Amino acid sequence: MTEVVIQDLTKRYGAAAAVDSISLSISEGEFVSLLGPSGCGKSTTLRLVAGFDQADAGKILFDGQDVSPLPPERRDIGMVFQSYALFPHMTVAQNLAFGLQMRKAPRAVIEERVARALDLVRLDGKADRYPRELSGGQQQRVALARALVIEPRILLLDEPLANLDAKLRDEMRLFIGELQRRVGITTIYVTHDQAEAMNMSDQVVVMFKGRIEQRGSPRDIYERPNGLEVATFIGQANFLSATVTVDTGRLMAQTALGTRPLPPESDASPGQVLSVLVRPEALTLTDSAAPGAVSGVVELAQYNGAFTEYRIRLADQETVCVQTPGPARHSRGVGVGLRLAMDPLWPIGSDA
Amino acid sequence: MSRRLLLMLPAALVLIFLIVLPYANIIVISFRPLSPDGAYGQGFTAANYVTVLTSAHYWRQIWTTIWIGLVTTALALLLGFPVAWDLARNRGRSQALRRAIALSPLLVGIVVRSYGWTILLGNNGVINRLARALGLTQSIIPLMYNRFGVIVALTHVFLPFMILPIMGVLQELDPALEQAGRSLGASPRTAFRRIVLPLCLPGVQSGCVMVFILTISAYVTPMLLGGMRVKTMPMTVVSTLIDAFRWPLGAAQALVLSLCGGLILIAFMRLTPMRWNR
Amino acid sequence: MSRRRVLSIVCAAIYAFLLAPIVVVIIASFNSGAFLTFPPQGLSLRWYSTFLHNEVFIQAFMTSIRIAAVATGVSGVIGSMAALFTARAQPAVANSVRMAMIAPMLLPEVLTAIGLLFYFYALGIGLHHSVALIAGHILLTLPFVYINVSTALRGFDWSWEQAARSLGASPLTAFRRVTLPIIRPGLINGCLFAFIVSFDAFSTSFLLKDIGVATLPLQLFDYLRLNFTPEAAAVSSFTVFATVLVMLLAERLSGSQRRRP
Repeated sequence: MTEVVIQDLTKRYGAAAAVDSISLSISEGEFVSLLGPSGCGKSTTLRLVAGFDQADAGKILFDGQDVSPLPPERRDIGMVFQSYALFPHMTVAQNLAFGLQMRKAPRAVIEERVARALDLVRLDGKADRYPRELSGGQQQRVALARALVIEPRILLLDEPLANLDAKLRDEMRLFIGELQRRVGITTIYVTHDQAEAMNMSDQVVVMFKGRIEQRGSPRDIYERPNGLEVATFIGQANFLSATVTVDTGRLMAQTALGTRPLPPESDASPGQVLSVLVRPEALTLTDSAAPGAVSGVVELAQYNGAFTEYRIRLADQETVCVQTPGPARHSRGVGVGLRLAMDPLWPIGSDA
Repeated sequence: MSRRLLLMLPAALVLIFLIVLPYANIIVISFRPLSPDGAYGQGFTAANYVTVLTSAHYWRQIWTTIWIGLVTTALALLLGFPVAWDLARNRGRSQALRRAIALSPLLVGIVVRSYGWTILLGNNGVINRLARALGLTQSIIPLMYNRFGVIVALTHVFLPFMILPIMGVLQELDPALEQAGRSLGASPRTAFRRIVLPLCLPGVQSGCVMVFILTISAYVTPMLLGGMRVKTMPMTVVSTLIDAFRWPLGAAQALVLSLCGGLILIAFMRLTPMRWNR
Repeated sequence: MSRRRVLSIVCAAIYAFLLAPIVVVIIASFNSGAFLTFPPQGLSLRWYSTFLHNEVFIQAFMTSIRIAAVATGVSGVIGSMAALFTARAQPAVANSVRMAMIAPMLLPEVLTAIGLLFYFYALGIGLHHSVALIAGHILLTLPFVYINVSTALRGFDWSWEQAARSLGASPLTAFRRVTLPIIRPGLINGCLFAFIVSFDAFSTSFLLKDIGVATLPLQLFDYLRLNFTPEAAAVSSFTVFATVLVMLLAERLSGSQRRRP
């Protein structure tokens, strides 16, 4: 179990800062995802933690010990690469044994632990196969087992699911999450896929342009994003213009779809014009005549199996995105009613 | 970074000390005067170049050499392209064998190969005997000790250098490109001409350049197959250096030939619009 | 369909053309007569026995092996190092290095040999102790090692090395346990090619050999200028057989560990 602390970490390539003075602390056994678009510095951060790149400034501490001067092989990390990086000339068992051999473990110990690791990732029986003889998902589990068999202090995963097809990706997501909780190892997971980050992590760190934009639980990030960028990057988002009012001592947001409370921590002042976040699943569709519903026209209906996604044009020409379970019930051009859930609305910033 | 540069150091030293400096030195020597009691004298003179450039005899030889080079290159392209295509596209069991045959000339010494051609093309060689046995002719067909023999043998000797680069580009070429052409309405012939051919021209170009350079500087093959009756420049250069021991003249001869060859290559590159910078 | 048919017939003819001179040499080598006649007058190993008892040829053969071994060893190390450098260099740098490394193959062999001949005299070394000869052969062989190792490195995933490091291997161990085994087939192939090229080289050896020393191709050439007995064919065939044998052996060696699909 290791606690990881990153202090003012900076890495420049030429004049551009790939990682711009970021600080982050990860407690023991925590699963933290670094989430962001490509080029946001998440992979560079991981490589700095692993020791494959040298930081220009800042520190990386494992349990209080500064590991910056240590080469990767002496940091005691387990890393899973995007390409898996399984040694093509070694069998599965030899791949797994490699790290233990580097640690000069006795042969009996190696055999026992390799067998146990294969069991852990449900690959017993594949010990003597070569990586190329395995499917993508199996290769992925070998890579995971190889990183874990050495019982590293921390586990680093660099977009490990990027090369898998969609179905396998969902499966591996569950598998990795479960495995991590079972082993209880401090884990840093780099991904550009918000679903992966939301599913597996205790904490999500959203990065843009080399900086940490927001850090929080998956729910925090989704429901209470601290800016437009985070809100649009994670999931679908509608932004409605709202005027702040007061009702029985509570701050309220008055929008085209109705008036709802603002969260208690909001520091908005009455009369102010804000932008508020409305997730598509907070909206429901009814007949246009339904009482209390705001009317609009269906502009687009896309059936997705589990749900249907609509684009509705409101009277003031604004469009909103709505998701409803099941197949499409309203076709294009038809007038519908829109109803907004009673939950508080999250302000994204003042509407300038 | 500096540790990684060390990887390059030995090769860089070899290239500097065994290529750059010796080539510079050839140029220096070509300007030295001839000396009766050594390889060359002191001081500088342009006399060697004057000797070479004003001699009709040398010009004839240079022309012969370059003519043989051009014909051989064209022939090698004609024979090399189908083979490269066959190797790149027709997989299957015999591919390894076909590949081995195509590259076999590389693995057998140039002396042995030229020798093989003397057995085939000689006046009493396989082909002449066969022709007589079949009653095709009563007299001897002169296949050797002339340009024909030299060109046939040279084509054989350097054919792999044409096949390899063309095969390389053909292998990299995505067959889907050709199929895309077909799907857009091109006939197989048009798809080949408009899509495959332009894309493999860089391989054709490097193959031609290599075969041409190798041919105009070939020594053994013209020697054995030409039997002194087809005089090419490399033979003259070697005899000037080794037999006559007149280094500056030999250097000038070699450089004039290289210069002529180089000019032809530059013209060739200019005339072929083959730039696909990826 | 007929188009493919035409192509395969044309190709078969070209393959025959490629094999013809080598095949006739081999057939001629089993001739029992005293002269090169075709078809052979009878089959015998007579000329192989003559060759194996010919001190001059045997000595030349040993010289060729010695020179080829030294040149291949040097080129093997230098060429591999340069290939490793190129594989990780920036594209612009890699391109110029690549050009420089294959330059010895593109420059006319005779001209390079002349250059070395002048140069080693100018250095005062001259043609002694096979120094110039070996230098010439290093230049001949270097591109082959470089190209083959570079090709082997083309599918190389640098995260393999990093994975080894992350598992606790030092840079040297990572190279020895991961990089080297993966490039080994390319290295073996390159060295093999280099060895054969050096063994068969003519012009370079012709201009740079020490006085009184001859490699096998030189000896053969000398012999062919004056003699027409099938002994030359036996010598030639012998080198062909040896080459094929070594190739098959190397195929076994490097084929057991194939690269990723």
